Amino acid sequence: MDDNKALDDLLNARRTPQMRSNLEYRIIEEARNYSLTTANHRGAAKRRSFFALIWDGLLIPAPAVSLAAVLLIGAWVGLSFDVSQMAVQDIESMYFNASEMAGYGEFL
Amino acid sequence: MTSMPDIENETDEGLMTRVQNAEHEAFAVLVRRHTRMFYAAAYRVCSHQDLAEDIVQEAFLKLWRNPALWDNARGAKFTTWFYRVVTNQAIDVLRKQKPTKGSDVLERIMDDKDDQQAQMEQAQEQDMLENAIQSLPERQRIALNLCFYEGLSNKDAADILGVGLKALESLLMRAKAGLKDELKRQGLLQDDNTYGKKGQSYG
Repeated sequence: MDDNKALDDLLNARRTPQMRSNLEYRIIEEARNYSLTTANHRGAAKRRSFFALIWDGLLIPAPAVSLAAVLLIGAWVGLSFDVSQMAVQDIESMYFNASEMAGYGEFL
Repeated sequence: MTSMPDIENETDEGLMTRVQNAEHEAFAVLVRRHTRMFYAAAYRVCSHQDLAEDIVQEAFLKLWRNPALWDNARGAKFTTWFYRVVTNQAIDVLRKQKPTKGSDVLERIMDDKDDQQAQMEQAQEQDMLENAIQSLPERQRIALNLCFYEGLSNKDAADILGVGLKALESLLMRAKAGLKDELKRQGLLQDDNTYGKKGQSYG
């Protein structure tokens, strides 16, 4: 028997041990989990972009928002305080303050 | 929707096209079909069961996370391409490993209780063979694994190693010559053209 044949026979006798665990199952499950995780991420991103789209689509002019805010604050002030017992200057300054806070000051 | 027998009979390349469309079942068929073969390939590179399992798992998961890595247009067989992925993964892992981590042949055999004496002798010889193969330079070892054990053509093996055909043949020749010297030194291959310790035969 020549050297090469002897070496080939020896190399052929090399054994590979069986896999210790159910590797196929582990790989398949890991891949499934990865898909679910990324699908959840994708779902959350889709929801966020949906709401962003709606919010961006709402074109409310700034003066209208400011006016609505002034009216709401006015109504709240009117209901909360008994204006008959307050000085006129106080009431005026309250309205001006409320308007400025609502960003409407620049229009007054 | 495709029925199960259809998908089971699909070629690897067809399954990969489905994997690229995120079909998990196609991926599962690929995994069931090839895990053992690639585990064996990874084991032959690193000689360690746990490591080989991790290498194959990581290679498959990399494929699932980024199936575009496989380009059907290049016309490569899936298995040839995936050998390259697994081999490169194994080389990366080995380079990061501490050099002291040897084969786990003896460790495995010590777990078994039956027929311990005979198995121990066999395991020692396997261990010597494994160590002789592991002592080869990395590229010679990979060339030997791909051509001798995985049965790849010289051209495919050369592609995986990124060398020309002549260079591959040279690597194989040097690998076999180095192995012969090492196995003779260990007494596993004898100078008088017989082999084996105590007159045992292999295979």
